[in-house]
Amino acid sequence: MELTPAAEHPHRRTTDAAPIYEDYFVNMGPQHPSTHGVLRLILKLEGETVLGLTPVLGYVHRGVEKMGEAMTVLQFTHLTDRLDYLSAHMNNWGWALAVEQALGIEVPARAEHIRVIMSELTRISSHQLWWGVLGMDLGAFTPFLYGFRDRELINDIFEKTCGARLTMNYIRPGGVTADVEEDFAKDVRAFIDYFTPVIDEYETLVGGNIIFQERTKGIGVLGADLARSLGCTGPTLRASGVSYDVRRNRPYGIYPKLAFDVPVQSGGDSWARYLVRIAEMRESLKIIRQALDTMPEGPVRTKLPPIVKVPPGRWLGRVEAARGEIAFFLVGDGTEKPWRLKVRSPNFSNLAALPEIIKGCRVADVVAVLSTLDVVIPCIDR
Amino acid sequence: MSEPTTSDATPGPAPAPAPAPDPAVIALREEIGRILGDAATPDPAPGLPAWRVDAAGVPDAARRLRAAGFDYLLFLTAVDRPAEAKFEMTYLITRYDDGRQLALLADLPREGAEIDTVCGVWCGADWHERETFDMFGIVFRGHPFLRRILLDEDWPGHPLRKDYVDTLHDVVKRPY
Repeated sequence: MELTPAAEHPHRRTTDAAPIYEDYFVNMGPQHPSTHGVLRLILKLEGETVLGLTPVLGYVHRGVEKMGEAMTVLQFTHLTDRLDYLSAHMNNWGWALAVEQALGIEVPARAEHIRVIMSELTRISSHQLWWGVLGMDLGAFTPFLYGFRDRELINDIFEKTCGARLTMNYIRPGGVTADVEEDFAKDVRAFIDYFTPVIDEYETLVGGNIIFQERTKGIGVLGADLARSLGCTGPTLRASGVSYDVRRNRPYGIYPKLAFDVPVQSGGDSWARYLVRIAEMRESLKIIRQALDTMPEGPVRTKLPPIVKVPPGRWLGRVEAARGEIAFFLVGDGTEKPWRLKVRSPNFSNLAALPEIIKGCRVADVVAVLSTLDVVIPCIDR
Repeated sequence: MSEPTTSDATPGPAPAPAPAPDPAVIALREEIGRILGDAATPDPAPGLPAWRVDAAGVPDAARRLRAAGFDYLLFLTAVDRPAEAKFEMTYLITRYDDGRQLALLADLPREGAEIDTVCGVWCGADWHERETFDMFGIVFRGHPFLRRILLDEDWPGHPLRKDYVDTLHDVVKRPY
């Protein structure tokens, strides 16, 4: 491909090097209600058909990796919430895993159970939000209200124990911040009993709707080979027929002791991604029930040395967040600050699939496909 | 963190664990040795199993690993080591079946760092290489569109270099 100098390029920061001037370019975003954050998409159109799409990233780039180099490893835990804010607990856990490997510390059994319960609740609440917003992106307002109504119950559980509803900052190297509230098990069981039938309602309301099916079936098909080559993960990958879940393929915590299925669909289209996420909510409920039943008493935190120094070496903490695999790469040099840390964002790799799968779709489908890829922009931009 | 500094109950764990002779890691070391041949030398640093290759040999090593089933490029990035006057390119390569992981390392000089792209091996390398170019200024030869991805086109410098000086913001360096 011939490179055009940046100054002469009609659309700066595009990946489309040879623009055809007869084509119609439309900017979607950076302030657009359906881009779920500050993401700009440059669409190349012919009528209503999308010929090409270029995501422009970096509008909320905060330099998290650079900031991490000036912080101790424990201080950095606070920034991991702010990546994918809908997977806050899992992000904390990924970072905690990397640090725990570096320090060679074990986590008490009770803390492992709490981590699993919190993470799976986060996954459900993230999928609830996705489900609601998906409905709104396709023109149905009711799912949005239903999703947020049910999400509130999980937020209340988090608030009771962690004191926060969004950036919980609860899972940290060595265990969790504090033990759960005394009502925790009762609240979570009440939520499970309430939410199990509600998933059926979700499926009837949106999945059973013929308009919704027409808008998602066969739209934005991502093939298995392309998904693998791009490094896609999470529901996006599993909807393309690749059965990969960090919780099962590279287990951490107490996941090896828990019985759960990894939902896989082979379609690769928006509909398949919808089905995978709905099925994942049911599996998460199953996991939470098992972890609650087997939760032992005991301490929730291993005592860390007063000054945590990262020994020289390389460590990688990998967890399955709501949107796919998030990994924290930690390079230590013997001081209390990381020499280098790198956040592997699942959304970054998943969004890379969008320009490939959107070609030939209609403009309205861009919204649907972006919504079923379920990207969170602060995690992409870091 | 409100960790009590004077704890007499349970002493903190030893900060530097002895490298455990994990049979899975030994098997991985043997397998990777077979795949990469003499071109790669194991890196002794603790933690992730890592192999170091010549910068020129990276695309070949990547192709061999991909052909051997390491089909998942988790990410690629660089680590700035000014004391040794080098960038350490780090490719985190793993698998979609059992999640076994390794780091492929390659040293580049800090001045005029250039390396061949691995976009042809994993499509996903495209954006990661753009990010590494953005943050470190490393040029990837043969990349289809090597532009900054997170920062503006006219951003001065490459922020993740250790000698980067922020000229845009009024940064106050504090002694703590």
